[in-house]
Amino acid sequence: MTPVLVSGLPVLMCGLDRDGRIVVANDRCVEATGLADRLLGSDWRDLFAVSRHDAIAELWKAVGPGKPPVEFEGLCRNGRRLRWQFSHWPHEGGDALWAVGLDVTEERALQARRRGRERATSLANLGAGLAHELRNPLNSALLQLALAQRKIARTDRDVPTELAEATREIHRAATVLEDFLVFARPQETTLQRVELGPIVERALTRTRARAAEAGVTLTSGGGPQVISELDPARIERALVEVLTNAIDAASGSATPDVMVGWRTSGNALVIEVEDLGPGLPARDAPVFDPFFTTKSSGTGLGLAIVDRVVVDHGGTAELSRVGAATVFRMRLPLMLGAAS
Amino acid sequence: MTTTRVLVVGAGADGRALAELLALHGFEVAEATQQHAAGVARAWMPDTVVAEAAMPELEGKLLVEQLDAIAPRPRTIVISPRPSHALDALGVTCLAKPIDVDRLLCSLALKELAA
Repeated sequence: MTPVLVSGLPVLMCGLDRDGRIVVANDRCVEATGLADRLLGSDWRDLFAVSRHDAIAELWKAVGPGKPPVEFEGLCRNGRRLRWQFSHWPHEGGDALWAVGLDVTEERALQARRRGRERATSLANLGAGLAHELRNPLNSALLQLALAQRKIARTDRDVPTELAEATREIHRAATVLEDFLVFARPQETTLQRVELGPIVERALTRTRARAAEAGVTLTSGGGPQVISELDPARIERALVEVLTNAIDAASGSATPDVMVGWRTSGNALVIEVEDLGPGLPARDAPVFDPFFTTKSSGTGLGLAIVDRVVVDHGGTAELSRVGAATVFRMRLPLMLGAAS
Repeated sequence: MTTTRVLVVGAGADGRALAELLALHGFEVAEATQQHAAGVARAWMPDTVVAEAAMPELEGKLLVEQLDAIAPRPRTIVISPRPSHALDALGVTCLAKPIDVDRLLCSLALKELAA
């Protein structure tokens, strides 16, 4: 009795003899294993990336007439992950194993990604909780420092500058926490059909004071009127981070200018921010990694936040050196359409 | 010109440090635990109440409800490690820890000038 070899369904089917050699197989089996005409007659165990020499003997022990099917999952040499169900097959040439398999490669990859996301989310929540907790001792330290400064100021003695230094350091720690909380917070991207121009304008408004303070000229080269699907608040936040970085880099350089502009390129929306500052220490510096910073007062989370926002939009971000300029480029998928 | 009265709510070391700091800056200061805040506020009539709150939405709301009985209701500032904008609607300023001490002093002093 040979079970019907089903074709056209995403189910793998094959029969193995006592030694584990494949005696019959359907076309999906051939496809999934990538063995083509070599499949029949080959050892079933050879399909797997890791040698499963004991597998057949074990299966024979577990499988028998009237017994429930036995599950087996393994990674094939071609990288596919197959899940098999074995049952006893009373074959005319003697007892055999009947195997029904499913290609679970994508399913497992999806599960792994989901687990990874869940882990990242729970870590982020844990981190956020920690950040919130740390605000309490920082606050206590600041209050005590302020009190000490004030008490000394009331005497004839000079207030040691170290106290102000310590206060600054605590404020810096607080800034790291703030940025971390923004970075760690799991954020949904709420896409809306919006015009880019006003978003850039708002980001410029929010950074003008810093630019003025740093003696940097902030100019917008503008761009075409573009309406795309964006999360306006998050794109604005990302642009503020990029502009802040560029302003800090341009500050003190011979040409303290920062330029922002945008254009469309194919089905991408490209936003660029350019400065003539000293640029990056190395071409392959991991600028988008959390906590990477070249600034003594930086938190190293600015561009990590930017990257998160851009990736969530299905885009890419890069920082490169073009001649004497450092150019930040954000590419977002352009979803054109009439404004609603 | 009368001195600005600030009621610091929170019995911990932070509350004491803040109260001492404010006193050194010339504010008239009283301290109260959360439990007694409303009673002290009613009797002493502070201009501003500065309260620490671990859960600002809950504790801030509770505090405002208690202070609402006082006319005019003292200005309320809540200091929290988890600041929330939910208190904006109640007219409560919520400051994130660690607070900018100079800014807090400035804001209290400005109130003094305006009064």
